[in-house]
Amino acid sequence: MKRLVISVIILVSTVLFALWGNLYIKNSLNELIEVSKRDDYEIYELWQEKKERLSIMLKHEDVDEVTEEAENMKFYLEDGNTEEAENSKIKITSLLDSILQGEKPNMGNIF
Amino acid sequence: MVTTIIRTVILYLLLIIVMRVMGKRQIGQLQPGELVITIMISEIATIPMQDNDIPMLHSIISVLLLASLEVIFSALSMKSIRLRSVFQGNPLIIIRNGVLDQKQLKRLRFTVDDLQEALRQKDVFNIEDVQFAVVETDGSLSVLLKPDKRAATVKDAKAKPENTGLPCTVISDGKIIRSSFDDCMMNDKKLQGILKKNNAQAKNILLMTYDGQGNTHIVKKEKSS
Repeated sequence: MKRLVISVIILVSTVLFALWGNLYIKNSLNELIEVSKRDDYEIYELWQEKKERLSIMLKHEDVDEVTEEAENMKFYLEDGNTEEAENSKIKITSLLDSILQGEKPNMGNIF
Repeated sequence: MVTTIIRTVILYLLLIIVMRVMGKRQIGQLQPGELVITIMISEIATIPMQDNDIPMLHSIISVLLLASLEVIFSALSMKSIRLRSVFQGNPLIIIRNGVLDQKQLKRLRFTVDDLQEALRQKDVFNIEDVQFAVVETDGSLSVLLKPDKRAATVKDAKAKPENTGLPCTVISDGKIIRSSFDDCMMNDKKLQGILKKNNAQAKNILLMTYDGQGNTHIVKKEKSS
């Protein structure tokens, strides 16, 4: 009986934690996508702020890709190359969007 | 490299906890479903050890879910006979009074060679000697021999063997194991009496067992040269 109660507690808390994690990822990615679509390039700071927590739940490869592109964007901005910086920002948006699509529990992702 | 070490230690601790929650069973005693779950858990746990790109949380969640579902379904199976037969199957009789039930053999996809091998492992070399043979839900074979082929028991010999209790460890490597006192009706006073009678001290004893019926076995520590 004790073992059953522990198992139910583990099951419920794991599911709740996973759901919370999924919600956190979706909210964060939506916020990041929104910011990346703006003209102010604040996506770099926001990404630096959130990437540590997101890497707990997201594939590190995906996180590294976005980080690399954000670094590129920063470099182009500092170099005064706004055209390339804009391209990097678009790439970041697209990367974030593809990560977000992968996190949605739709039929395609499940099966 | 440090990441791998930390991940391995965390997953090791997690697996120890999960195995404790799932309960003690030997591999041979596991139901097919339990065996598959155990293999799956070990496989999932190794993934983040091998690949640092995969978040460890994914494995932890999967391992915890599998283990808790396994325990919950096992507990539900204990409550419901129908559920038990769905999850674990039923034992099937394949030999009755020395006669093979070929229909059940086919159903189990058991060849005659498999059956003979399983019988030989039970020291049975003639199917006709078997009264009942049952294939258990874990795939093992249980055999009941015909009465005239069974080994003689103490009752058959009309002997009156001495009643013995369960020998339990009272002292191990110089340490008194008080947790086993209740199992063998031991107490500190009785223990001191036995030690005094044997002219021994607890710290000098490697192993002492007591069976509750007054039978004591003491192995003293060898003096290091």
